[in-house]
Amino acid sequence: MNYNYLAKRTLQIIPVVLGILVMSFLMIQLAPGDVVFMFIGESGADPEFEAQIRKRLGLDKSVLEQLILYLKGVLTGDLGKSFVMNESVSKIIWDRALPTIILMSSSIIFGAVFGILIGVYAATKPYSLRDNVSMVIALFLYSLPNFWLGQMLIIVFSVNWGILPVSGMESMILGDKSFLMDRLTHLLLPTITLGSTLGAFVMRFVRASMIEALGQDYILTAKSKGLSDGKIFFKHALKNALLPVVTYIGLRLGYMLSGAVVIESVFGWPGLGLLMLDALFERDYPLIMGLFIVISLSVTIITFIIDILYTYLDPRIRLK
Amino acid sequence: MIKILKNINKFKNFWKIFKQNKIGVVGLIILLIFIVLAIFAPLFATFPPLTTGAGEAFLNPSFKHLLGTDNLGRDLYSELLYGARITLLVSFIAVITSTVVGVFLGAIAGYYGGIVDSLLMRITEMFLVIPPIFLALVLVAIFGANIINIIIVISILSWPQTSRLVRAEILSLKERPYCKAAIASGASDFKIIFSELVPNTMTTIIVNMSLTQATAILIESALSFLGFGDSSMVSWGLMLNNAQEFFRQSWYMVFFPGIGIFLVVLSLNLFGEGLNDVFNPRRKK
Amino acid sequence: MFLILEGKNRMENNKLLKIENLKMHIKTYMGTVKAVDGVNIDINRGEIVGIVGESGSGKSLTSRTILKLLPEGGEVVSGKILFHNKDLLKLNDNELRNIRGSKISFIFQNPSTFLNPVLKIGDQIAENILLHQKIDKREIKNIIISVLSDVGLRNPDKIINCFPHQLSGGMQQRVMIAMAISCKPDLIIADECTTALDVTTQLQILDLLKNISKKTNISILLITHNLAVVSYLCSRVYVMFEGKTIESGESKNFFSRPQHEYTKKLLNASKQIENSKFYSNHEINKILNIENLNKNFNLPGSNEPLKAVNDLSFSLNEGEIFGIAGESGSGKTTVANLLMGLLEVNSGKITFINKEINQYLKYEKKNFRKNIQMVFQDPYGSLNPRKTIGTTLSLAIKIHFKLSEDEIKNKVFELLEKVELTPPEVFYERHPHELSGGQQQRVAIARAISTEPKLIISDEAVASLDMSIRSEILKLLKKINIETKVSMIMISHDLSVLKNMCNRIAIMHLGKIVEIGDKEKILGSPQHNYTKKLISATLEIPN
Repeated sequence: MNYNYLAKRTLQIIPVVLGILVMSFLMIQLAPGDVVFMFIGESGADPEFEAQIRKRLGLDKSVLEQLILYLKGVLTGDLGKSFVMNESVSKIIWDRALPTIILMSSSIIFGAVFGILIGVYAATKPYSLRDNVSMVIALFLYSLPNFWLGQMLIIVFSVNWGILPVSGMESMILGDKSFLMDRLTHLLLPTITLGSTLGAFVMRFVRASMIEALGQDYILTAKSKGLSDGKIFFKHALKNALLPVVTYIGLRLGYMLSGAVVIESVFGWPGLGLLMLDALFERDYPLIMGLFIVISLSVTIITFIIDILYTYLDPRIRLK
Repeated sequence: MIKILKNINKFKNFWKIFKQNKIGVVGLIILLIFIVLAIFAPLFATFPPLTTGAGEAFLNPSFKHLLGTDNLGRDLYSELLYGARITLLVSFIAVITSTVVGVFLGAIAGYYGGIVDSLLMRITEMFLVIPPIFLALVLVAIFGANIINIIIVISILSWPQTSRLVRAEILSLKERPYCKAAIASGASDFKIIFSELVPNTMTTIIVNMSLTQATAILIESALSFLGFGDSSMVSWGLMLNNAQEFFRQSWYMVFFPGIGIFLVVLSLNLFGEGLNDVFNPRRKK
Repeated sequence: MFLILEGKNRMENNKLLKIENLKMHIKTYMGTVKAVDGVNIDINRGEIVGIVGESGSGKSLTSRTILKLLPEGGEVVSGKILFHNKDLLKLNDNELRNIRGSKISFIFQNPSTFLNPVLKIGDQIAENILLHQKIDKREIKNIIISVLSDVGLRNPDKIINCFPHQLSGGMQQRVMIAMAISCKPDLIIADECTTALDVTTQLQILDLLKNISKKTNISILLITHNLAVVSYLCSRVYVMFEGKTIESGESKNFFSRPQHEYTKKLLNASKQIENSKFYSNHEINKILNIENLNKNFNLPGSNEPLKAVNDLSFSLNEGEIFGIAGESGSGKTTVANLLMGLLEVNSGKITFINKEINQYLKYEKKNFRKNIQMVFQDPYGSLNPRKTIGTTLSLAIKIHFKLSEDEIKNKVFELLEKVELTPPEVFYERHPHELSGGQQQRVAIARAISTEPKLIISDEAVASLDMSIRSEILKLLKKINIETKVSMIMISHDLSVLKNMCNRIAIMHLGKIVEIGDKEKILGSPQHNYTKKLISATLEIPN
């Protein structure tokens, strides 16, 4: 276990985490208008409450002290209280997290599998028809605005053909379908929509990675030993090529969550994305900032874990 | 005078190679069509923008309304043309500003290394983990959703990628002997970075610009789609937002603005691919 | 008559490989390249045969064509390759694969890239054995261990579970050799297999190959550009030029009586350059004095810093050519970078023309830069690919001399003529990629002398060049030294390069100077063990 690398990476994400927190603090500070109103709402609240909030936020103190107060609060899990929903922000986020997690997981799996399969297929005969067609498909897929793709899929499959539900995560009335089937049919279109962009990028990456691996010197060595083309492709090249895919998917997590917000809106999927949009419309700043921090930090941590996973997979880093 | 002639020659050579790349040419053509349509929108449009009641609501495509009308009777064809303006303008300005900033910061960080570089890397890493739409939404919510802010927001989202790319290139070019030779000749740091090194990254920067603009358009459309764009202007994303309620009545309200976004983004990606093939040819030995 | 026939048959049976008039052409988008254009080679059992040629001669491609490992677009146009009297070119893919790795195997140049980084060593060797022989999987481990010890690796049982990057370059090459002999082949084709190695390691590997061939009667086909290697190892030699075998002969006769014009040229270039007069005014000014120089590098993942330069001291006189010899990792390039001010010194003093370098860099940077220049190893990389030769050469002149545009241009023309790039007007407009390696290096030298420096450092300036070009560049450097009296520090891993260029030589090893003195003394009667090792490992062509 390469502890040096582990330590180095941990040291590297601390500034990122701090940076995100400071950034959110600054965004609140720089907003036009009195900061207080972000936390008590614009409609008048009683002056006593307002004074309380001012004191709690430390608005009578220097900016630096406010920052420290803020950091202290966030790091202990206190993200404030949503005045619109009258509950602690942390709890609200916790309750609504699961649908987004489900959607993200299924989309990542779908996109990764789809992308790897086609990418490898394209790499079996580079610059041939199958390769060019695959790459054009990828190009089309990541040029599509994903919300539009979602809308079109709904129109075709739900509105016109009626075989899939229009929106939401579950039906009100189950009817003759099982619980699982119901959930799956609701999950299908959002997954395809969100996962196809990832699939397109993974496709291109895997193909390029395979072609690069196939051009390496050790492939010539393998050939000189008399190995068959198939064995060379799958034993020697593939392992080298797929290694960086793990990290690559980690890199795209932020963009995927970005897409998830929009997809949740299109499909009425009751996750954190939809929550964010509601919060924005209500001007519920504690919730907005809370969501911002939670989402950003989640991606940071997951990327970090993926990095560590990669060091375990790549022998060149694992043993040095 | 000679310099201008030299540049024209360079361009001719470039065009000769680029012409052969079908993908790039197709992309360029589509892009040019949209640019022309956008610039001359008032000429091509049949109705001024945002004219409600130009016709009855939910009309099918007809001679009078080439692409039909929406729920408020607006002519989709004209709306589409004016929407092209916003799409292209916003993304273009955002790309230019983000590229200038990105190249500058990336080159400095790559060349000097040390603290400056670490700082830049941590900042760009932040932008990598924060989902772009989230940041855009928060910024727009705080500072308001007008066209200037949106351009600024998209620029903020786009520069990190450019700076990372440039930084990586400068890092490797810095080790080339000709850079060391330039140092040995006594050239100033500024001259070395911007006269010797950055020009050698131009091809990467240009390809990146095309792809960045594609992304910028997708972000802008998404923002408008979610209702956080500038509502005083016609935008394709906004049109799709509007269409969300009316799937059953009219699918073309969804289809046409979306196809517009798709085609412009596609053309930029195709053009970028074509450029990439010209600059970094994959030689089939 | 019967006896004569029998004798002939025996000779035929001894012949392992016979390449007859082989032609292989490569179709590229720029036209057809006649990579192999008429090659005739015989190899007998147990023989070590060499193919020499410069880059582009087609020697590597010829060797790969033997087993039909053709590049993209390559096609055998005519010829026969008779192996045990069977034409390899007529075999189908399956039959070819049976021969690859088992009857004929390869050793390549750079073991670090030619071994799969994510597969264990044991795996990669086992793969070869299992493919060609029916062996019980339980027996495999023992076979691999024995073959690894045959190539001189200690702790073979540990190495089996290692990955390539955990081994040194020399060890990796031994692994490749182990892989090649694992199925007891008849012929090993070694393609530049020691080029990427240190001089001392190179010798070890060549000795290993010699021993293997003697012990097991395996034939070896050695491909190299290095004539000294060939004369050390091979009994017979073929010379290739532009895809053809133009001359062949027994090693011992070959070097004393070359026939073909090209071979003569090659030999002359490789031999020592004639001794010519040096500008020797040693007793006059000392222009450079280095005292107790130290430079450390912090290695990631290690507490001990790497002492790249360790308490180094030497001095240099005006007009002297001083050589620094050492293998990779000796610290010689670090010394160059420190002298140029491209790296910061940890401790020690460097005095250049009576001033300390630190003072120069702080207050008189421009003056410092004017007086000390460098020529680098990679000729193409040392020129900005997007600028014309003229622009590149004008850069330093513009900084250090106040001249008009025309005057600068004239000066550049002068420089181009000094480095024998004529007509200068033509070269002025060219871009680096339009020049050959030798020409690029001449431009680099022109740039180095453009500021009229007092000291030029040449860091492996000829290592990347072909043999015949090398001697020309060295002659040019000597000419400049005599004409302008500029001092030079020549850094090289190859003592034969320094042999007739330098007045004095310092031998560096692991950051220290182990021996320093007049060239004759160092080369004639070396004192230090390492010096002796280096000298003996430097192969030379016999007279």
